[in-house]
Amino acid sequence: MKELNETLKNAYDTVSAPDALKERTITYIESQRTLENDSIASLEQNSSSPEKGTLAFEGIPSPQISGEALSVGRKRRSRSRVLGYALAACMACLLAGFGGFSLYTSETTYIGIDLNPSLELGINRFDRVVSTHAFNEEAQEILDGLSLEGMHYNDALDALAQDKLFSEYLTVDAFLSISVTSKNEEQSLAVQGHCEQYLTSLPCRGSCHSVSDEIRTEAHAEHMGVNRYQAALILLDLDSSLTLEDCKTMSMRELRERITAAGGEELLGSASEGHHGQGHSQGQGQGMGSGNGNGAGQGRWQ
Amino acid sequence: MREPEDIEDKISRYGDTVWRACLVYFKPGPDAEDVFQETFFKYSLHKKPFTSDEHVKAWLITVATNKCKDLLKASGRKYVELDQLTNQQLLASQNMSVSSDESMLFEEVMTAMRKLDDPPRTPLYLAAYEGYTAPEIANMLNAPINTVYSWISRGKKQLREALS
Repeated sequence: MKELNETLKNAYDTVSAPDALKERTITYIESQRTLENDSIASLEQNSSSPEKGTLAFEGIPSPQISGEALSVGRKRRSRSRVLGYALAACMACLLAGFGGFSLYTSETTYIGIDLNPSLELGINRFDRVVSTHAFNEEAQEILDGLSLEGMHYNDALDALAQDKLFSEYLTVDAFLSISVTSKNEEQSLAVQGHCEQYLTSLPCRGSCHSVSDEIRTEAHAEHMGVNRYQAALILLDLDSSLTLEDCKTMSMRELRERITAAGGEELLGSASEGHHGQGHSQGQGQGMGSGNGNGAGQGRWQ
Repeated sequence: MREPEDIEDKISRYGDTVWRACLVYFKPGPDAEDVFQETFFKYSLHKKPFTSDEHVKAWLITVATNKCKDLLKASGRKYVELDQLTNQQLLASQNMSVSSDESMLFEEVMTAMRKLDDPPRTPLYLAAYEGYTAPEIANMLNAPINTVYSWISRGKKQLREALS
């Protein structure tokens, strides 16, 4: 980043606003001031008698609807038409069947879990796990030994916690980050709530927050879990000597410790020290921790 | 409206900053000049007090970048390349004696920046040149902090590729 900063600095430092432009701007603003003063003076002179018609406006005529456009003819139904309806009904039933299957297998929410293993559970509108994805070898080894698909996500999370391989990472000094990405706000809030509860049952610290689909897509493009990717971006901004590849091999605890060491502690959000944040965040995520708020920025300076 | 002395002071102190922000979107020419003027005109009408000089600067940059985006959107453009001064002509108009290497770098960087999507163009400029942190940029652009980090990372990658 330093090299890029230097390049931009060298380019943009050569730029300054032309003096003529600055002078024209001052002249323009002063001309607007004169206009404003003149119009105020004019209004004050005429304040006792408002002009007729200044507030008048024309009515908008109602649109005319043609009688011809509304006419509907009656047609006799033929046997072929009845057959056509029957065929259409059969097709509709078939499609509904396929549609239902598609509905069941489609993910509506993704739960990203980053500890040192990084994995993701895709859940459908019925809260069932329909897909799993591992982002590193540790996670792949864990998922290979489990059969989570078809389970309710609460049961899947419990199965993970009880899994021998996964539980080895759940030490007291570990940090488990959970992200929830969903287009269904109701489901997102419910899942976040349950994940918060889940975290309280674990021996390690952790946090849960919602993340936009955009960030999830970027994380996946880098073959990283969402939480690890977000932490990596914060760390890279603070310590330009590291690369994304370096961050991929760090545990969440290590990433957070390095962020804190680099002075970015306030960017880690409000994950509690003891166990597990309370409440959950909405919107696009707020730092790296959990907490209440809408995570939508502080407003514009206008 | 704000007093003339106040406006002249701000144009003197932040004119270059606002102009540079305009050039992130436009080549030097009528569009960039319009945005420059409108930004300071808007400042002259702004009634709420500012908390600090940094607040003023950030406000001016935000207004300028928003106006640039509005102008581009209104004309259906992503960036402007035609019918305006070339970057070399700009440097010449400013009576700046720059080496041909500097002139080429300027041209290359400006063009590469203007070809980036926005975001990440604006967040990248604010972070990499103006030195704002991601939380500050999130505040200016009314965007979530993590999204800003993502934009900056993506912008750096795209700009490096464009310049390599």
